[in-house]
Amino acid sequence: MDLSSILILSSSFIAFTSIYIILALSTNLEYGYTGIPNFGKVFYYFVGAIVSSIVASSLYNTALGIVDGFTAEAASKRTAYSASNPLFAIEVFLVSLAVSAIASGLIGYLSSYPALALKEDFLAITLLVFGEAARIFVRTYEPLVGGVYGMSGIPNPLNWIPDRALALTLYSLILAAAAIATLILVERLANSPFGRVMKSVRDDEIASSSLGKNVARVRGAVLFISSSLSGIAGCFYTFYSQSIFPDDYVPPVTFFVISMMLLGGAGNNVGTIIGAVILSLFERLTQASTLALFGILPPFDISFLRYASTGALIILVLLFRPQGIVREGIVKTPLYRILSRRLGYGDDRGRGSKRN
Amino acid sequence: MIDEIVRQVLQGLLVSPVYSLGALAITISYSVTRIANFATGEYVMLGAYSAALLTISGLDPFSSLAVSGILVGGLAILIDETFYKPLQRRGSTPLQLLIASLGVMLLLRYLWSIYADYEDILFLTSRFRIEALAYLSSAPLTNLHIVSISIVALVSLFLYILRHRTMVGKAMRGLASNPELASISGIPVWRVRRLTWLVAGFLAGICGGLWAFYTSITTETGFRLLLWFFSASIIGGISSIPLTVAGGFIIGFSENLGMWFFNRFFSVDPAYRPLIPYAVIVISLLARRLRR
Repeated sequence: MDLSSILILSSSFIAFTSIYIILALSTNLEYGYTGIPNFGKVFYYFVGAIVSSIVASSLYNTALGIVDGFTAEAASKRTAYSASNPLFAIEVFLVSLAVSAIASGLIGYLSSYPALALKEDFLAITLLVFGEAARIFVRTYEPLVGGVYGMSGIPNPLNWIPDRALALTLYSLILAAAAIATLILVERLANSPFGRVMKSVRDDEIASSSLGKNVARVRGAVLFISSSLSGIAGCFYTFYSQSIFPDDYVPPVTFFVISMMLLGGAGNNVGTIIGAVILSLFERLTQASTLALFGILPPFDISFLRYASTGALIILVLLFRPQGIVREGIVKTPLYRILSRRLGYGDDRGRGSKRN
Repeated sequence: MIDEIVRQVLQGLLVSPVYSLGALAITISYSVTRIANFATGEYVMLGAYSAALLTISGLDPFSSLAVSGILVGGLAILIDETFYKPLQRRGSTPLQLLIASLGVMLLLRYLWSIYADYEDILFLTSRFRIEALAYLSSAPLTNLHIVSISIVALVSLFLYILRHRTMVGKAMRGLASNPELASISGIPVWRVRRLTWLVAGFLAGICGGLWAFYTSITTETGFRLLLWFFSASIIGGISSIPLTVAGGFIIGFSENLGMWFFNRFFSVDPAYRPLIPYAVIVISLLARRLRR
């Protein structure tokens, strides 16, 4: 293997891990902190992908005067244009990112209505149905993103870098930075008074509303934030694969992300990241193409084994370590830090204190 | 036009009993154990495979249905004993149980997929011969219509008698309405629970068998049907047996007649067909407000 193929392989690892980290952290915000079982995670991810591909392709099509954007010719024209216009490519990327974040967030906010009305298990079914319905609609309604065949030629914002391996590596590093930014965001959110309110909604909705917390607003806000994060992940994936295929966004993606969060530890962001890294490494390593590098050719479709072990992992974690790898910590708000210093237990970061 | 409507009605009559049986499996297990069992779809898929394989090996359709029902019933008990019961004993939340059933779903479906891929039976057709018995304005009334409708009628009668005319059924209803009170008043909670899973698994097994007689199956069949079952069951409020059966028929008819209606008058592409049951689920969930 030469350097460029190593770079491409490692960039795919980094890119997928970062995307999964963003998705898992947003799931953790919903399920781990607020107790909303979002079995339709892939729906918001999909919305981000659809919106960003529509925005990007229509911006390119207008700039180039393309009428039918779904042909292979149009796709190659868009790619060629992005290679010669770096500024335009980056602008399109940023606009798509913003629009998809807002669109997914709004749809997430709207789904807080059923989230309010339904019991957990039925909410899970409803959100799962939303995702499947959206996928079936999009794969049938061709004017949106080209139906079953999807659309390609959504140029990567770094297409103008002549060396493909370098461009992919840089792009995956951008994704890694975004994953770190997401971690900082959700960590700040979780260790704030709002984080405590989220946990109170999760643990006892009635008690928290009796203390004057607006449960509906908390749920709406959490779903807005987490869904726009998933939308951002969808946008990143679209620009990474430079295409969109509706059949990539099937429910097993949601289940995979949920199992990442469960493995790492629901209600703990660092744990969630550990789970996401472990499982996305596992996912990348059990690709048929990766296994073929080591000369392993199983007599069945290897993705079946991956999904089966996801299921087994979910059950085993629930049976033997329900709290996950890293257990849920305490909420470390600024006030908590001050009090723990004044009262003299633990150092000023609140470490080593009694567990609440 | 009448022709087409009759055709759609017969089509609805063909699929609705299957939906009703699957929905009954969900209703019965949910009402007693409070687990929204996502693995029901996989029970149905395994029942479909076992019935199809049994007919291929030469067994007659009725015995294959019965055998696959019993096999899947046993599997349902086994899954409960190994996974759900320990979790519930430990006091897991309904959400954790839901996610556990998700894990069971993935495990069953893909373990079977590995085997099926290895044996090259990912796509399977049973040996059941669908024969037209009569023609109602050019649409065939088949033997499968008779079989599935009589099975669903028998099963719902049996379930009704079981739940409302026997002591076991009384225990089941008691367990459904208040598990703690039921166990205090001396109901053998775990034994009733095992019986419940056996019945639910049996229903799922014959449901899958009928589906295998109706059409070709893949390992993804179960998940595709699962959401239909849930919607039928939710229409019935996940507690009432007659309403659940009716829910299956509502789903089956709305899917076929509704799609025909939209296609005929609004020229909607038939590929949108799955959206109709999905819309029914969302509407019935939001309308019934299954509140926490």
